[in-house]
Amino acid sequence: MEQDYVSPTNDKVKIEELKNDRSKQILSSIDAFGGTVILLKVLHGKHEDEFLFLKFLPDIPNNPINDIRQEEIIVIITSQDNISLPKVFACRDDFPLGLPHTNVTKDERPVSLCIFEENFEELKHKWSGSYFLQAIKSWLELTARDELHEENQPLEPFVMGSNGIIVNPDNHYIKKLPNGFYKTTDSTLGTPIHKLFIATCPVDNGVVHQRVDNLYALNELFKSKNIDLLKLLKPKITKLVDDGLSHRIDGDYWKGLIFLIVEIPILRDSKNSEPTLAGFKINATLGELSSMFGRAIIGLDELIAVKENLSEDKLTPIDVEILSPHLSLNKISAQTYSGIDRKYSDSKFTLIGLGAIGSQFFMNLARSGFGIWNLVDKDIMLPHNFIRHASTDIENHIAKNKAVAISKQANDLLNDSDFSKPFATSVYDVDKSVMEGSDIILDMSTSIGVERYLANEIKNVRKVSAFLNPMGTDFVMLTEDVESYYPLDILEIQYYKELLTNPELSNHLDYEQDSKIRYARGCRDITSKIPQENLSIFSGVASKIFKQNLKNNNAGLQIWRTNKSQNIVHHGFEIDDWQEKSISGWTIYINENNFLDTVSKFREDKLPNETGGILIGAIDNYYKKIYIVHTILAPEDSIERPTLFIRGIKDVSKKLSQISEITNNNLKYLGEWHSHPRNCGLSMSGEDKIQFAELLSEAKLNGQPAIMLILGDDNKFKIHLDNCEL
Amino acid sequence: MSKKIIKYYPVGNGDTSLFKTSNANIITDCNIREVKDGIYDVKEDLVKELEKRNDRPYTDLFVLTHHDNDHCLNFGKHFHTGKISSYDDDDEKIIIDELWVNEYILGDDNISDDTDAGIIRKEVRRRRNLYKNNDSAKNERGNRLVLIGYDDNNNFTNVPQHIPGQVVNEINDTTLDKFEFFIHAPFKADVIDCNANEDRNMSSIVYQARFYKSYGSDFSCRVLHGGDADHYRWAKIKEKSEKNENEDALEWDIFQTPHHCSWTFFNDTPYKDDDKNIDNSEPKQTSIDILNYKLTGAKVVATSKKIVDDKDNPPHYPARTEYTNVVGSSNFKNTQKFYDDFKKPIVFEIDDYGATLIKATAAAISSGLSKPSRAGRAG
Repeated sequence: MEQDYVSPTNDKVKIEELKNDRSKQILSSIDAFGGTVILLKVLHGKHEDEFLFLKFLPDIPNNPINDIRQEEIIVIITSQDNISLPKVFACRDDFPLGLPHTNVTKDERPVSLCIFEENFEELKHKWSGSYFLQAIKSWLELTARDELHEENQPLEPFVMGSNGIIVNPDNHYIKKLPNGFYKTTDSTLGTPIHKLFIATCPVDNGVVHQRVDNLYALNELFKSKNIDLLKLLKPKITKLVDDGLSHRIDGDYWKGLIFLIVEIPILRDSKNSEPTLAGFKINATLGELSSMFGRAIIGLDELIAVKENLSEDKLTPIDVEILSPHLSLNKISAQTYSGIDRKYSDSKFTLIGLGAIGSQFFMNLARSGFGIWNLVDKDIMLPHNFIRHASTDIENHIAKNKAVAISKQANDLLNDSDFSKPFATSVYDVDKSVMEGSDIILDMSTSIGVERYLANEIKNVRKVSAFLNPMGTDFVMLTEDVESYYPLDILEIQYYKELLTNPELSNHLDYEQDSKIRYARGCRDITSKIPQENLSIFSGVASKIFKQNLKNNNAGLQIWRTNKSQNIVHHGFEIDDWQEKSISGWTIYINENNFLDTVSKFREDKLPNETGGILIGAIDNYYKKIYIVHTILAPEDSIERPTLFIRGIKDVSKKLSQISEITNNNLKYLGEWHSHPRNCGLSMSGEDKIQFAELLSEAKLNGQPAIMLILGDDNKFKIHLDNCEL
Repeated sequence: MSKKIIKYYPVGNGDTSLFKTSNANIITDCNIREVKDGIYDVKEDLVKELEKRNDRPYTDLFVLTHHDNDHCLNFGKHFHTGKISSYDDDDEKIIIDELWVNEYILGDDNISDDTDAGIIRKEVRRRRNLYKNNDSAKNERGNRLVLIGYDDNNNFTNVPQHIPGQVVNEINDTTLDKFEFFIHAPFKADVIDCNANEDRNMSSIVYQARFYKSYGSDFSCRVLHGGDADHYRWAKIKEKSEKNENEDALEWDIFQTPHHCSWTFFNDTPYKDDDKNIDNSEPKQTSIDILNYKLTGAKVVATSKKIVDDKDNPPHYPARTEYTNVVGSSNFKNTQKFYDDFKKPIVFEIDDYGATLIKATAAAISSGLSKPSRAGRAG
């Protein structure tokens, strides 16, 4: 809002004849201030404006930092409309200039006070006459102590320009944008510019109060801060001229306008200053300025000395636009604005899967300039992908590879072609050395195959796998420890076990029955009906937790769940210990916490009888791995004798169905276990061999090895696998 | 204790002030009038401001500059005297942990026992006897006594003593936090003279109170209090301080007008009597010099009734003019005028920027600092 002061008429207004609502509200509040605000007079202004002259008696210390007095005459100007804030001016002739939170005006005085940071639209709900008067009083009191500008507030710019320019240091042209903004560009269609950088000595915090619109006024402004701008400018202009001549540059070079960027350190206090940038578009060409500084150019090879003329007459006609410079977004500024730990600025990450969750997760981090990325995805963007993808550029990205599209989007955003590199291929075709050169590999492919590939084939890199449950209500993150002692596949199996053993998660892998089920529904396939909001929530969780987990060397298994109230409930699990055995080309992992401890205690309870149960777990036939993680203990109808155990069947079928349902068939029947009495060996007895033969023939039918585990004293056990034992 | 403040109560022609430092409350003098319309309830406010021990309000220190009635009115009604064990909770009197007096309270033969000065004298004797008899109770809060200045009649045997020129930063065996006194008066000669002349004002305790900034050794606020000391005393204070290179002890951010803004600070009285050919209307240069030790933004506080342009003395209008000539009218504050304008005592908040006069009344009920009045239908 224009804050220039236009003097009132001499027409006094009687209180009872006030027309403006704001005037009435302010005056009716004065009584509440107990003599610390006194009405002096009210005058008419233009356009029905009313000028309220008030004496304020703020509480000022006897040693104020700024010269605010115990009595200050303030004029408040109200207008008939109720859509703008009244203007506030300090009337005292020697009221200090250059204070923080004062407005830029045409004239230096009266000083226009900036009472509120918010605009009237924000304030109107709490605005009242007394609120306004109190705010003015507080302005005076806090300014006296120099406390109005809070420590954590950014310092004010040296000079305020209403317009701005977005600067890429590599560009040499400038083009106009809407709303009075400019942008540097490489396009020769723009206006050529010469960017000159100057640094000054530190100046006090506080905005300049007069508009500066020509080169003479600009020079005077700097002079008032004891800075000789023209002296700083001259060698820069001279160098440009010399460079132009020595390289015999023609055309745009000499027509280039000067865009001056001045780095001005602003003092925050007596010791500390912070750099600020002020930008000035000087609407004179290099050729014109060169003459003024005493060097006239004739043709392209002759330079003659002329008399330097930097008089007011010469400088005043040169228009200057104050353009607040905004550096174009780059990785560093993105990090700064996001409060990112620079430690991970150059960390290399490989992300596999740039679908809904992967792309949104990645763009969260890209927006904060986090890391350097390899993006791996073989799929292309199809129309329905845009519903939940970080790209909304359907026109340009349709049918493009997902990794390519999103990589370009991020790199363009950060103006950094090295920020991410796309791999438009299957992960299996990416050179392993690329992935092994990463600090972290993230699997967001929603593919168990990819996760198992990473766990088994990519060594010496920490890996993370993250995915949504089929209904999109839960988000899972499996994080290896830094040594990959707990690899992704082990974490995956424990994840299924947690679904089994935590009743509140038993519906985690439910899916919509009426949704289209493809020929082989994977547990990480998501229904087509998940709303984008869930992706948005969980991609935010994912990027935050990912960064958090980087600071922690331990493995993690975490699930986040939204409920109907959209609260997010976090489930974190202690990582189980496993024993690893190798037999006959197979690697068998036996869960200690949930399986071995359970069966050992069960055996103890049943001694001297033998007992047993069913082995529950998973088999990876490709990598020849067996994971024993859970058990169904001896059913009620089992026969348990000191030298005999016959496993019953009561409820077994039902329990196996439950396991299958809860884990989406990822955990299943693996084989049998039974205990031997005290002081007995772990070798198969005659009965054991008969049973094992039965298991073997059934296992062949199921396409998996037959497994029998015999449990003995001191938690010792022996596994028999396809007639082999260990 | 949190905010550091100095409070001057509106008590008409008389003094009652309160310092709240970081770790001590200090009252100087009292002129607590009966509460009625237009009379501020000083006692109620003091009880609100003071700390409580066993639910009993107490002040760490009470400085009696001298025992004229306008400096000790209703002392007996509002301050506990005698042993702590005799405290009556129904009275809600203020306990004085340590009491500072000048010698003349015991040297003055013109004190009636039933006056407030008499009550104070009795209390001083009680405390003095504990020292005299080397009673271990003398060091207990509520029994402590300090003589300020010279002991002319040997009435204060064994009683601790602070003398002019001394810096005091300890009361009740506790170091004052970022606060200290510089003792200016009474001088030995004035104590002797006041006994001889039977003039209580001559023996007034005069001190400079100093608040330090939060960090470092700079002062944030210096206050000069002089009871009813006249221009002769102040001339001597100036002379001694300058001679002993204690000029900084003369500097002030706040100056409480001696003798309630009377002319005695500036010259002899009467101010002028044409019939008797007396003209004392020229202020003594030494007094003006004292005022010129003012610091930036310094304020004069006239602890008196409202000052009007008449013949009254105190408060004396030409005296007011002298003060305003030095500090400007906006820095001259009168306790009664301030009370009339703002319905509150003069309060300065002290921080690293110095003293800030607090004029505005903060919303107390809505901010939970004060109970609202009783609601509902009574009776």
